[in-house]
Amino acid sequence: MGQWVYWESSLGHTGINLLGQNPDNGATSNVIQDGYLIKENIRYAGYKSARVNESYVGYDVTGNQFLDILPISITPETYIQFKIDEMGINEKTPAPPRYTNDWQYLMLTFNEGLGIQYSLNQFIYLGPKVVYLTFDPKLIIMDNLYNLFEKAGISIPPGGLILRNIAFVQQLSILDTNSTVEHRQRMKIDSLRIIEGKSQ
Amino acid sequence: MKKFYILALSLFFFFSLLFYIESFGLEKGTHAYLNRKIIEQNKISLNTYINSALGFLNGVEEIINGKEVIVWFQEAGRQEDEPAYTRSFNHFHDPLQPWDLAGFNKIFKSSLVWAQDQGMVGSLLGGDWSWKRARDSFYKGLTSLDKASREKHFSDAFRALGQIMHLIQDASVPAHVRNDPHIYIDLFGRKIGKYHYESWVQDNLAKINLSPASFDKSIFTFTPDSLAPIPIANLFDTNQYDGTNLGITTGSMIGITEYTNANFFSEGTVFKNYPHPTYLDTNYFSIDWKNPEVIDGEDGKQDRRIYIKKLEGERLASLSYISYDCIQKGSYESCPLVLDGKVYEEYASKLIPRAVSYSAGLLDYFFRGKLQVTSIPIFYKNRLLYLRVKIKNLTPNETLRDGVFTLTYSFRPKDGNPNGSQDIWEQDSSPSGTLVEGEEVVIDFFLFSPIPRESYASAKFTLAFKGTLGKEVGAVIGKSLSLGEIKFEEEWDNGFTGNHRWVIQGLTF
Repeated sequence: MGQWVYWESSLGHTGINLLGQNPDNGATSNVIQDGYLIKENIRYAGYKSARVNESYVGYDVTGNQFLDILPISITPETYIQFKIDEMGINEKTPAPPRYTNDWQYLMLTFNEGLGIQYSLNQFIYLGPKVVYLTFDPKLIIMDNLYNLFEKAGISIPPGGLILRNIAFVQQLSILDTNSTVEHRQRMKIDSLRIIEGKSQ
Repeated sequence: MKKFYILALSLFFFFSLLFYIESFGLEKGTHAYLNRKIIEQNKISLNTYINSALGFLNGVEEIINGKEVIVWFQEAGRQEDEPAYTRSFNHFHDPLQPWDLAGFNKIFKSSLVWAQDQGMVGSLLGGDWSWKRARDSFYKGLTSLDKASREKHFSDAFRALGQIMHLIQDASVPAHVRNDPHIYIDLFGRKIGKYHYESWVQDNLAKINLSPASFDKSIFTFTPDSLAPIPIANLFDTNQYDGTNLGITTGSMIGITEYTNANFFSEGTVFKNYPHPTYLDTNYFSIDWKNPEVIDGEDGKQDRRIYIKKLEGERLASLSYISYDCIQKGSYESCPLVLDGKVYEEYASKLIPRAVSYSAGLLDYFFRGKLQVTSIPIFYKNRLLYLRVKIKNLTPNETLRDGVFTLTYSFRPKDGNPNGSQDIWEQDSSPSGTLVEGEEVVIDFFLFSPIPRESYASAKFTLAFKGTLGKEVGAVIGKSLSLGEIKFEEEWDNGFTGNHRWVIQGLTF
């Protein structure tokens, strides 16, 4: 199980301002290579400002233009299936004990504030309605979404569960002082599916 | 003695080829007719199972191996008497004998043993069409790796089942459960032998009541003799009736041979050879001999006859045509008793509904295994690499164990011939473990030939279980599977936004 991270910011981990850009403090890239999405989020040494690299589908904001095929209705037989080969950082950013200032995860956001976050020791705490899970890189992971909530003691909303957003997030948060090292987050994503098991 | 029977069999076989023997059991046409009607009566449940298990769309009307499923059953009704009625010697079962001696003249196999084990000799005369053959063929049909083989094996399974239905129907013929040989030969148009029950049934098919008698599935809970260990033996003989407990034979939890033996006469065993029916079971001692019934005789003229009836009222036998003189002279006791058309009509009204419901019971038992499955495809590099299958045993009151689950699948490769000739077939197996009713196991079947994403829609899966189900060793359950729906899919094989409208956001705060 990954480390639990408590982050008190009320801003949310990403803004809703689609036009927001990173400052000139590093580099971000999203490259498709051999069937992988390779995401990198780099903050150069000598900077303390934040940097983010997020890929998502399904935000129902800004006129719903990025809904794609979401929202998706989730049933007791709906599964997430993904394979992420890498999700790491070259060197952890400085942070108080039990805190971290670098986050990296796959996030599924549902109705009624429910969520599922997969990470490798780079979690961000987004409240008690989110399930926080580690995973084995390079393996095909398959989980039943209902079961994940059930095991975490989180009730399914009475009207049913609806997947509203899928996001791969890399974020380096603000430091107290300029970093003396370059921080380099890297995520290598092979595939992601939402599959409805067929009972017959 | 043995040489005599071998000689007799040889002569019978020889003459059978020369002449058409109309009956050595219910007529072939009767069996074909009954099999078809029974399938039609059970069409809804059979269609549900066949479509679910085999992936058919048309149930018993599906054409496999050149014929509709229902026709395979229908023809099997005839085929059990072929070639030339030689198999008919194994269509007898005397429920008051030990099973190894219950066959015709204690020489041939009892029909209930024959239904489960036809042995090498039996196989030489028309082939092995036993329950074991039905199960083996059904399993091969479920697991064969090409369409033609699957259809061939399925048709064999249906044929074997149809031929066992024939055996059950013959067990409703009194002569077949009271060791009474009866031959009726058509020698170039000339009838030789005695007209009997089976001939009457064939001649009166249209007016026979085919409504099934009540049937209690609990009959399968009896443990049969080890000679025929599969519980279908109970359809024939539950080993409850021993000649002294007549009352038990009229219930629904009784073998059909026990019912028939105890309650009806065959032509050659009227009040003899068997403990029942006895005179005391009938109205014999209270018959008003001077007032015979006036009936329409077989010749169309009115006739006067005295009938021996069961105490409940069914006709069991009558004084024969030649008895008229006896009656006139008052010598009733010496009058020969015969079974006439009226008697046969009442026999058929009781026996055929039993034959119908017990034959349907056989089918129900064959198809009783129920699995609920949930399929979840697992992909790797845009190919279906595993199929996760959650398998739940829903067979009422029966545990599934000591077996194997086999997943057989096919798919059409890109640009494969639409006629299926280039389809790719594969399979994977896994031990079943033990599943009591309601229990579930999850198995990830590895697809040795991964299914490309573009062939996903053409993929067909069949799950087969072979093992022990309840008391039946070698049971088989089939289940056709379709794949789950892919609600969202991203393989990054079509650029960053080629599959979905991914948005990149870099935000500072």
